[in-house]
Amino acid sequence: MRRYLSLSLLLTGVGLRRILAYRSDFFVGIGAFALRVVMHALLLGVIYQYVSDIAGWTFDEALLLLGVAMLVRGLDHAFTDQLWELGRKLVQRGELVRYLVRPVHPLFSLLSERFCYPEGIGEVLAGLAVIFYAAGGLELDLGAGRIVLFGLLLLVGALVFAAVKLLLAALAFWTTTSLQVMTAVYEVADTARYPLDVFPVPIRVVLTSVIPFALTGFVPADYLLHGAGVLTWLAPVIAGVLTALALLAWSRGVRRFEAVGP
Amino acid sequence: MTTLRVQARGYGAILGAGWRTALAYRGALMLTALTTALSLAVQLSVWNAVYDGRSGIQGYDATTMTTYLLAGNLLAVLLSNQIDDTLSGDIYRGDHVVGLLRPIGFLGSHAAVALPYLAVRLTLVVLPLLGFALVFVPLATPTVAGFTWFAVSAVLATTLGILLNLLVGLAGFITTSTWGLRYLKGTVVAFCSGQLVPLELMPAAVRGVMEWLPFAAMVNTPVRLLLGRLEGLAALHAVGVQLLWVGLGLLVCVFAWRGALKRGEVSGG
Repeated sequence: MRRYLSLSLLLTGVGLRRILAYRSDFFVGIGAFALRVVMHALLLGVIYQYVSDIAGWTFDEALLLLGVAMLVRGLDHAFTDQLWELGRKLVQRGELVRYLVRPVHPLFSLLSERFCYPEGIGEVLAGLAVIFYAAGGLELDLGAGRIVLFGLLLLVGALVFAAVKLLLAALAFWTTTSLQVMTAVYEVADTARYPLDVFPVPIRVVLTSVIPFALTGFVPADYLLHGAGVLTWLAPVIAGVLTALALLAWSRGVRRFEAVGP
Repeated sequence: MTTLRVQARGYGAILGAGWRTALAYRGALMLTALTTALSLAVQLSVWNAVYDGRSGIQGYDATTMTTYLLAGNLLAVLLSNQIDDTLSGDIYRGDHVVGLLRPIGFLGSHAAVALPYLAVRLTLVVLPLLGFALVFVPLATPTVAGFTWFAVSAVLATTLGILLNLLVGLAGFITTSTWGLRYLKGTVVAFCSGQLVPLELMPAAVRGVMEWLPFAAMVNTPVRLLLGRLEGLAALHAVGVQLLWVGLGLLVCVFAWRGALKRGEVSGG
């Protein structure tokens, strides 16, 4: 365990130096990220120009949901971004072999290439800023117990994101590359940052069980705003099952993976 | 004459190879169609809730808005052509040197790959989703003129998508890695093209800026033409602006490529 911790620290430093090797592109990416935050808030503002509430959710509540979704996505983004490379090219080009011959767990070996990714950290900070801004216009009942459970739900949400990403990236073991699917699914995550009550039942089922992105924004935000519901208690179970499935797909995939020569 | 024949054979081979490559990942594309449908259903549900009890917003009733979002999202499927990724990848690895040795233009060959890629996306994603929507979703019926304008405008929009991606790929000569730039492009196109919300609904100041940018010509213009919100001289003007952007895009690509050739360095050999 201690070995993994010290390796994580070391590899975080290596990863940061690698990113900063392409400084201009890195700063463009940071700028783009800030722009995305503004654009999402603007889009919400445009919609709420014409209505006072959507399915009972006011602008401030919807903004809080947006902030929570950003924070959760940031938590996942900061630690599992390298999975995009798995779906994009590591299987296709046979480069995954590099991670399989190191004397650590292959999944750790893969993820450690992008630990504490700055964009993810930025997303967490931006999410927190949006949450605090939105909370200013809301009367929240904030006891210690509620904050702790809210924090746990955020972690559950991040786990869901990571599991979906791992499952889709592992698809590449069978389809050679899965980048297109990953991109398309993540677009769903972007558009699903709205109260679940807005959607018809089939979409609610998909967003809570098939691709449970409702757990990455709506469930924690709804808990903070309106207290515990059925989904609050179901969320850890769904996340657990999904994570188990993703790990199974990863280990099956690694077993059938064949490198492409020296 | 011989040069022309060599060029034609070269491009023919690239188109054929591009078609086979794109089809090789058809399973992934079908999943893309499903998730695009889900994303669209999510957006439509949100707007459905917004329209609850009101007849229109800025002249868009619920059916027109549904048609706008459907057409916009399907058009956006054709704006993604991956050549920014392949081109910048070539530059990153220094593989563009091999491209320079071929008897056909380097940029032209990258642009050509986009055509079969888009044809496969059209066949496996856009047409099935459109067919499904025509049967199950209430949509506004476009006029013949609207549809004709849209067809012309959609071709210009996808051309702009190709040119923009070529430019972003070429930026690899300056930044080497283009991840940040591609992320920026994705964000700007999604929000400024009008894919997520018609630009007419934006606050006046924001709309003013966005209508002056080339991105509006990629979704907002063709879809407004389809819905008959731009007719006669206004339609001609909108398509003229698109043509201008295409011409400008071509010029910038040519100059960027010439500049890049002077700047590019490849080590090894």
